[in-house]
Amino acid sequence: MKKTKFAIFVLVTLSMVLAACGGQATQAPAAGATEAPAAGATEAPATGANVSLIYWSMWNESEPQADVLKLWMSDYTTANPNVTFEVTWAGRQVLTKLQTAISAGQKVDFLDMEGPALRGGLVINGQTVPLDTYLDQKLAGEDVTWRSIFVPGTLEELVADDGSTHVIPYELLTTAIWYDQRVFDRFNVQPPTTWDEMMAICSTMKADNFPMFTIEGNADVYNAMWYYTLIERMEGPGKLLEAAQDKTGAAWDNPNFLLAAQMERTLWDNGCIIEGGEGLQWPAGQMALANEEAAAELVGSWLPNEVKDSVAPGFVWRSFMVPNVPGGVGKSTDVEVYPLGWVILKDSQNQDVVADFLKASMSKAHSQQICDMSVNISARADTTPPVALQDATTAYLNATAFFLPYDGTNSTIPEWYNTFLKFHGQMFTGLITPEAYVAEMKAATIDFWK
Amino acid sequence: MLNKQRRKLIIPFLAPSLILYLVFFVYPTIKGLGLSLYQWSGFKLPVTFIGLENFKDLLKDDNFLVALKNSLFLFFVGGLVIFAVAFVFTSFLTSGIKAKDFFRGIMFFPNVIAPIAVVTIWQFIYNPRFGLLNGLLDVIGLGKFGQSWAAPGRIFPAITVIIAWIAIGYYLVLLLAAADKIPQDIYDAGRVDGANTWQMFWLVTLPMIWDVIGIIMVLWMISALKQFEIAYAFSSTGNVPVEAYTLPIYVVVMGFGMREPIYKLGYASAIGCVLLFIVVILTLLIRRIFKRENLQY
Amino acid sequence: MDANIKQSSQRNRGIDRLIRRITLIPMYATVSMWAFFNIFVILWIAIASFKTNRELYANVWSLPTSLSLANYIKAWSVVKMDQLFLNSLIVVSVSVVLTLIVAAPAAYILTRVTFRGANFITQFFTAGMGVPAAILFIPLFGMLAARGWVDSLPGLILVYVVLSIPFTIFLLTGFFSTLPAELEESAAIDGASPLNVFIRIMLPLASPGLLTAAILNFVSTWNEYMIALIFTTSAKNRTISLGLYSLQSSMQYTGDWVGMFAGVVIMMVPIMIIFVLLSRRMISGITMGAIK
Repeated sequence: MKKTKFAIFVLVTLSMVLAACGGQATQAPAAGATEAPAAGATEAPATGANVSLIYWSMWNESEPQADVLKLWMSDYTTANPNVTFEVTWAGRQVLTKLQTAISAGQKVDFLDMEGPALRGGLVINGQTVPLDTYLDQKLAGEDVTWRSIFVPGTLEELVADDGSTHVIPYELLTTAIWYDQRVFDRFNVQPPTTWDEMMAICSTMKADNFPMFTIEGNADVYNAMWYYTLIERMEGPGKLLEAAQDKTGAAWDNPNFLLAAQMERTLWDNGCIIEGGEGLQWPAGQMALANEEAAAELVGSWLPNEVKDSVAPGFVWRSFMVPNVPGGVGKSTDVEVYPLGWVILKDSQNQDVVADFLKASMSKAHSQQICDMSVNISARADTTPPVALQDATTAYLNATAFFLPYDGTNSTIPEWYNTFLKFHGQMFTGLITPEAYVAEMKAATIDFWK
Repeated sequence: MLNKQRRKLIIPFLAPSLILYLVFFVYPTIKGLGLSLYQWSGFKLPVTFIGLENFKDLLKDDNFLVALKNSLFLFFVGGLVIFAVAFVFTSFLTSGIKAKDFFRGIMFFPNVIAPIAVVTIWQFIYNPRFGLLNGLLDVIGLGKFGQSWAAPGRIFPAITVIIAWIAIGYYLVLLLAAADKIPQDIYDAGRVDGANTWQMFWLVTLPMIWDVIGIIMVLWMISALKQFEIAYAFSSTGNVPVEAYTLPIYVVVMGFGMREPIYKLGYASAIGCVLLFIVVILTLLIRRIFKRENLQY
Repeated sequence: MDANIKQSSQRNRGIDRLIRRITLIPMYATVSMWAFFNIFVILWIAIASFKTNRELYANVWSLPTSLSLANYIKAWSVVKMDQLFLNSLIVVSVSVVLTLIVAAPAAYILTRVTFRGANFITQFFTAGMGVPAAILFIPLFGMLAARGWVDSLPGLILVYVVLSIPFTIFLLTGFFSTLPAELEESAAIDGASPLNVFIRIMLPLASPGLLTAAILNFVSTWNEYMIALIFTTSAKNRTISLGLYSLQSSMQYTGDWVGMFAGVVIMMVPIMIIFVLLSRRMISGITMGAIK
């Protein structure tokens, strides 16, 4: 019996030692049997030495954007045979996977993801490289600098705290009110530019028992779009972020913050929102729009593509931005800028090569493929947008001001942003009153900065 | 004598699993839980020691309290429903119904379907406009009770119903297995004495499998507190509404973020610590309640 | 007099049987309704996989106008579910078998041989069931990455085996402790070595319990995607649950719900087969006694 106990004790100690030894090794960069050969990838420039770029993408391999990117990569390899790509189609969890990978020493050269997430997750943590020197270079075969081809405002919105640009967008999303032209024709109404015009459209439809808007009850991220856009219309860009960063919480005493919430509730009270909307679980909300049981939805520009197989044939997509409000600072021509793009990681040994690839992929022909093949807006200004997104693209190019989704709170203060989503969702679906909502937000903001 | 001979086998039989367990489970767990005393973003940035700060913050954290409340609600209320129904069905299926295997299989089946599919159809059932639940109420004349079942205020009870639906099949299978071992003559004796199905179950089956039920309860408690998949599938476009949080979901949200990255691994570990602590306490409690001498038959 | 008693007791038994039959009816009804609902759910998912997205959006509960295999073809060819399917099959089967190989002997020893600390070790193993997996991810990933074991099927198998050990030992120790000891004793007296006793006597006796552990582990590992997500990177190492997960997470940009349902059905089929074939063997005679 003693022998057994002793043996077990030895076993246990041995195991702990084994484990601890393994633990030490995590500090060293991993060579290992992984797919990442980083072979010969030192400071050698693009011409000459063989380089394999490790690219982690937010897309799943079966998505159209993945096809576009594959095209870009193969075009680049054709033009520069010494450069190959090792791509991981990581899906939307790319940042999570990246976190575990980097903490274990794996090598990744560059990745793409939604801009705000890149900024809040990587840029702020100092994991990326500033790209301003590359941006000032000219594009191959064109007489313009890289920096100048972007839709105005899209580079500037995601700069790091020191003003340097780390995120290169190749695709643009935005938030707009998407509507069904046929329904608008049926009621003989035009897209509004003021809130009162919009409410008038709503009553016209309501008279016929037809809801103007559909929503997804459980999509706090969608419903919050009403709030930060209304604040922008009332106060101008960046004001919600300011209020979120006000350690005294006094900003929430501004009556506009309450007014915006109340205006959202009037949408409900006036029957502008589809009945039972608070209980609609995505995708049931947009189903109503696709089936022409509602006229419009405030949501991101991915919607036309997302439901393209599900809408009735002959459905015509149009959009307008959230209208302006009486006495407000922001205009209905202010546009939410939601870029999606690349960053180069600071530990990459091939920064020049990657930057060259990114530049080459933003040629006019390549950028057009984003529009044509994936039904999205390209970050390059001189492309022709897909039909469903024409209104939104025009709005982008003629924007009077820009603001970030959620006014940038999701990327700068994600925890506050989660709390905001929660309380706003509760207010929007009628669980708490607008007054309670403002009180909670004020308290939460103060708490957050303690 | 056999015992002494078997002693030789202790090391070779025990070593593989013990070593694997210690090296690849216990050690990372200790490391992981130890993180709760630090602040770390997961990248190779400084890991700062902050002592019990994380735990203090937890107490003030509304979202944590929601997650805690949900997890416990699931365990107690969900457990009540699950075991009430599972007991009833066990008594039914042991009272001589034919096709017992078929019913058992069908009831277990929800455990096999991927959570996303389960949640999607249930969301359609709950749908206030074309959902089956409101439709059914209409048909039987209770239409006025129809409502938005999955609205934020009610979303967690709605989730609990789904989890219960799945779990009832699972625990039914385990209860039936336990009840199966009871020799048939005990049942026959009971029948001769004139007991009906319910009495049979309550006075014969239940006492005989009492300690097994204790074990099944522990399994349920662990499964309820670790619940992640079903509630997570209620996310739209990657974000889970706070009302649907469970403790494990909150761990993942704080450690890895959802759409927006929130890298607070120390805080996430602290939540994990609390979770583990609750599991241990509840295990001891349950064991105490269901403790009984092992019956040999 | 005897004849009278006999007659009346026969009549009583007849009435008893009738009453019993009648009370069975509500039981049949309840159980059948529940079963009917479950079947409905399964059918709905299957039917949805044959629809087009347009049909699904138009009416969630209707039958499709034509049964098209387009979704399945797409799942197989575009999402490359065949490769994923194979990976899952290998990873899950191997890890289930390996788990049994390491856990069964341990459970046997812990229940059959009394030595100081046996109880403690058993509790030690089963305590692992309460640990939330997310806590382990980063430290474990770091350990495996240092040895180059990430992004490989063997590495994934290792993680699955380790994570299944607590539950399997819990289940098996409970099960083994209820098996009668006499057969082993007599075999030992007949001169069999302890190892032989284990292999020849115990294992066959324990097969329902082993099968139960195998099935439950198979089911939980097959649908598992969090760990697969973190511990694999390249496409060639992905499991089918990740394939489904990628369909699900790209929903906002592709809106292909019916395609996802096809993926769900593809994933369901193997488990259905396993369960139908093995469940009878699994349940008959299994019990879980108290852990001493």
